[in-house]
Amino acid sequence: MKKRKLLPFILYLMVGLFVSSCSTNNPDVQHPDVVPNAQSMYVLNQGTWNQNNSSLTRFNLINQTATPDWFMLQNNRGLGDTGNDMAIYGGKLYIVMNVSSDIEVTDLTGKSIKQIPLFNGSVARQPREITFYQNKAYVCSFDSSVVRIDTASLTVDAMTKAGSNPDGICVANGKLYVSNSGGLNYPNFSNTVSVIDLATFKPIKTITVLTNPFLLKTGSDHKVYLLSRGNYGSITGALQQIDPTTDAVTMTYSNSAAVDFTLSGSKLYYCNYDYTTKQSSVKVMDVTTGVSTDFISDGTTIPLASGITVDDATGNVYIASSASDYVSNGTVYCYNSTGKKLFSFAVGVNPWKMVFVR
Amino acid sequence: MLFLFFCSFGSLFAQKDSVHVMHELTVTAVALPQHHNTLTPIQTFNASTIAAMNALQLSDVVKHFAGVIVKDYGGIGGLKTISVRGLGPTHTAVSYDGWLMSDAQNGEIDLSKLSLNHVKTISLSNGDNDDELETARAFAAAGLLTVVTQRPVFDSSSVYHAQAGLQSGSFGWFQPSVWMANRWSSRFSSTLLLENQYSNGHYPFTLQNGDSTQHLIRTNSDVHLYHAEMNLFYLPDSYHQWITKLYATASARGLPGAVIFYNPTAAQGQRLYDQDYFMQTRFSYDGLSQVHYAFGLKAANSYTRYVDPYFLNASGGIDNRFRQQEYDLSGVFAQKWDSLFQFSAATDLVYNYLYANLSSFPQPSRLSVYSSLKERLHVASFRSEVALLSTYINDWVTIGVQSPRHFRVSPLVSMSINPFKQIPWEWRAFYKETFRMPTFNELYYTGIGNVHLKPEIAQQWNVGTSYRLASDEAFISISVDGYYNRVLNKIVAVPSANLFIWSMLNLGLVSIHGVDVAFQGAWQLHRNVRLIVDGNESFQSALDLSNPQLSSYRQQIAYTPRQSGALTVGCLMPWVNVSYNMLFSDKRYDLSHSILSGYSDAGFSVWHDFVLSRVTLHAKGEIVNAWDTHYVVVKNYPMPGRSWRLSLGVMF
Repeated sequence: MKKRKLLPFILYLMVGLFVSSCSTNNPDVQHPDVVPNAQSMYVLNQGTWNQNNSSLTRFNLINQTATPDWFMLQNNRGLGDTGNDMAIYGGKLYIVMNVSSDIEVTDLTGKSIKQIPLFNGSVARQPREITFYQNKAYVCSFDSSVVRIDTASLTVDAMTKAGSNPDGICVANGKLYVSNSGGLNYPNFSNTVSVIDLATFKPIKTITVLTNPFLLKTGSDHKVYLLSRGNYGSITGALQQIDPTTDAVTMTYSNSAAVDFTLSGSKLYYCNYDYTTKQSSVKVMDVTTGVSTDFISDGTTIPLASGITVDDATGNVYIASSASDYVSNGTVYCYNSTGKKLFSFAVGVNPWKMVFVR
Repeated sequence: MLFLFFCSFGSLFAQKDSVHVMHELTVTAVALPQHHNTLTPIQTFNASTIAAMNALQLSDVVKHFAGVIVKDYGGIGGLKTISVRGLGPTHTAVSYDGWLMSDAQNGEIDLSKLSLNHVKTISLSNGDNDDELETARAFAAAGLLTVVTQRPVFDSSSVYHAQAGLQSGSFGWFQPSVWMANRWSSRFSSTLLLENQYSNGHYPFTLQNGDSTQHLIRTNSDVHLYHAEMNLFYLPDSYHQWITKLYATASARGLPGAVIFYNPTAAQGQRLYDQDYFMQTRFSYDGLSQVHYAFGLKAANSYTRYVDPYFLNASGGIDNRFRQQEYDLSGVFAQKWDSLFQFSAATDLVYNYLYANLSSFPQPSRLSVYSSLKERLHVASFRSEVALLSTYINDWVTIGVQSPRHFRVSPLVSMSINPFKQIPWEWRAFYKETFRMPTFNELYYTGIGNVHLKPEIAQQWNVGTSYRLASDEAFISISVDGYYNRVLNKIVAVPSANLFIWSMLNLGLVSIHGVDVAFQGAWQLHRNVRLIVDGNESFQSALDLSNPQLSSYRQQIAYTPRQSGALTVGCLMPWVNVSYNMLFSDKRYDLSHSILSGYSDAGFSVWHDFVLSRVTLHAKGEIVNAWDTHYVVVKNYPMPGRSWRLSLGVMF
C-alpha cells in the first residue's frame, strides 16, 4: 500500500528476522558417545517477508535427494510467513513462525499435529526462538514475552517477560537465558540477557553483554554461548561465553562477528558474510583457547552463508546459503569434518535452520 | 530562455482583445478519438469511452491502455502505480491539466489519489506527445500519462452550469460530488468541484492456502477522501488563455497489508493520512501567428503520516511524518520557421524539499533544471522530430553527504511517414533515451539510502504502424507497435554493509521486447445507435539480465505478464447505453519467481441521460467483476470480487 514510503524502513527492520538463529540443541539430552545416523534432514526456508512462502525442504541423506515444499506436500497447506526457528524434541518437530505468529508442531514426517497461535489479544507476539527443558518448550517473542508450552498437551501453560525484542533462548544450570536485542528500536539496540528461573518461571537478573545480542546456545561444557550483532556501525559483533554458575561473561572472542554458529563438542563453528567484499567465511574455533581457523580446506566457496549446523553422527558440516537477491532459492552445502566439500542441494528461499531426523 | 518569455509577456497583453470565442467542440455522428497522425504512439480515451469502462478511479481507465501494467494492491484505497512497457513506475510521469504531479520522495504517483470526476480525456504517450507547448519536464519522462479535466462550455445565454452527483455501491462506497461552472464575464469563468469519497473497504476475498479455501473479509481497508478543486479561466480571446488551478485533497485510509497465513491481524491499526495542496497557473498563446508560447508556476505541498500502533518497538508504535514541497517554474516557446520547420524550446526550474521526522534524516532539497530543444520537420506525409533534453540536478542535505550533481543530455529521434497517398496507413519509428533521478527515499532514507546511486536510464526503440479509416458511418483505427526497451543502472534494494541494513544499488539490467496491438472502432449501426469498441493486447518479454548467478537471470521480471489485454464494447442507444468491458492478464511471477495465475475481470454498465428541457438527469448502474473472479495483481493483496455501483446525477 502507500506503506511503500515506509516499506523500506519496515523491510530493514524485518530483515532482522532473517538474521535468525538455530535454536539450542536439546539441552536435556547429553550427547551420547554414539549419535545414531540421521536418515534425513529438514531445512527451514524463511521465505521473503509478507510472501507466505516459508517452506520446509526435506533432504534424504541416504539417496541424497531433496524434496522442496515438504510441509505443503504433507499437509496441503503452507507453513506461513517467515519461519525463524526449528527444533526436534520428544519425537516432534517444532517450527517457529514469526510473522504468522504461531508454533507449528508436526510429527517427524512433517505431518502437522497442532498449530499453537501466539497472540496477545489481537496483537501478534511474533515468536523468534524455541528451546526445551523437562517436557516443556520455551518460546521467546518480539513482544518481550517468554511462553512455556507443555509438550504433552501442546498448550501454553505459563508466561513471563524478558526485555526488548528477545532474539535468542537457551537453558543452562536450571535457568533460562533470553537475549534482549532491541532490534526493532534501531539504532538504539539493547545489550542485556535476561536470566529466568525455571522453577518459579520468573526473571531473576539481567546480564550486560555486547550490543544487540541474539543467538544463545548451551555447549556440551554446560557453558552458554552468545552471539551479539553489534550496531552495524562503530560497535562490531562478537561471540561471548557466559558461565551459568556465576552468570558472568567469561570470554569475549575477538574477530568472531558471525551470522550463525553451532557447537559440536569443544568446537564452535561459525559462518559470516562480508557485505563489502561479498565473501563468505566459515571458521572453526576452539572455545577454550578462542583460536579460530578457516574451516573450508579444499578452496571451495559459499556464496552467501546464512546458517550452519553439524551432524554429530558424521561430523559433516552443513552450511546454508541465501541467493544474492534474497528472493531466489538458496542452497545447502555439505562438507566433511576436514572441510572438504561433499555435495550441495537446492533449497527454498532464505534457508537457515537445519535439523537431523535420527 | 526565460528571458525570452518575459519579453514576449508585454506584447501579449497588448494584443488581447475583447472578443470571447471558446474553442468549439465539434460533435460528429461518430466521435473521433483524438488520435491524429502521431510521431510516437499516443493512446487516448475520451469521456464517452471512459463512461463505458466501469471505471471508478483513474487507475481503472489506465488499465485499458496497451502496454501498461497497473500494480494494484486492491481496494479503493490500495496503492496503484503505472508501469509502461516494463520500465517501472518511476519512469512514467502523470500530467494533470498540463502540470506534472510529483512525488520526489517515492518517484511514483499513486493513481488511487486521482479522481475520475469530470475528467475529459486520458492519454498515454511514449516518446513525445504532440503538444507543441509540452513542458520540458513532461518530455523528460519515458512515458507520460496525461489527464485533462472538463472545461466549461457556455452558449451565449448561459452563465452557469451545475452538476450534482451521488454514487453508491458495495463495500460502503459513497461518493457525493458537486461541480459548478460560472461565467463571470465574457473573458472570465471558473469551475469548482467538491467531492467526498468513502468506503469501508470490507470486501470479501478468497484465501487459498494449499487445498484449503477460506472466504474472508478484508479489514482495515477503509478510505475517506475529500477533494476540492477550483479552476479559473481568463480567456481574453480565442488564442490567449490564463488558467489557474487550486487543488486540495485530504484522505485517511487503513492499510490492510499483505494477507498473512494464520495471522489475520498482521497489519491492524496501520493507517495512512495524506494531504495534498497545489496551485498551478499557466499563461499560453496558441494562435495563428508563427510564435506560440506558454509559461507558468506550480507550487505544491503534501503531508503524509503513517502510523502503526502495534509495532513492537520501545516507543510503542510508529508515527512517521513526511512533508514535501515543490515549486515548478516553466516556460515553453515554439516557432514555425516556415511551412516545413518548427522549433520549440522549453525549460522547467523545479525545487523539491522533503522533511521527515526520522532520526538523522538529512531533509534533502533538490533543484532540477530541465531544458528541451525540439526541431520538427513536416514535408508532405513525412514528419520527423529531433529533440534534446538537458537535465541538471543538484541536491542539498542538512546532515551527511548529498548525491553528486548530475548533468545529462538525452536525445529523441522520431519520424513518421504515410507512404500511400490514398490509404491512411502510417508508419512511425522513434528512439528516446530518458533517465530518472534516484528518489529521496532511495538516496537519503535513514539507514537505507545510498547517496552514490546513479540515475536509472531507460532506452526505448519503437517501430509502429497504424491504419485509420473514417467515414460518416464508421471509424476504425488499428495500430501495432513493436518495441525494444532497456533499463540500465536499475535501482534495486539489496542488503549492504550488513544484513540488517538494506540499501539501494544500481544493479539491475532489464531488457524488454514487446508488441502492443490496439484497436478502436465506432459504427453508426442505425440512425441513433452507435457501437464503440476499444481493445488492445500486449505481448511483453521483460527479462532480468542483472546477474547470471541468480535463478532470476533471463527470467521474466516480477509482476509482468507476457500477455495482457483489455476490451470495451459499448452500444449507445437513444433509450439506454450499455457496455461490457474486460481486462485479462496472463500468469506472472511474484518476487520469488513463484507463479501467480492469470485472471480476467469483466463488468457491465447500463446508463442513460434523461434530458428534460434545461435539466439533464443521469443514471448509471454498474456490475464490476461480474463473474466474481478472485485474483491478485500483487501477491497476498487480494482484489475485490463482484460488486455493484449506482450513480445518479443532475446537470443544468
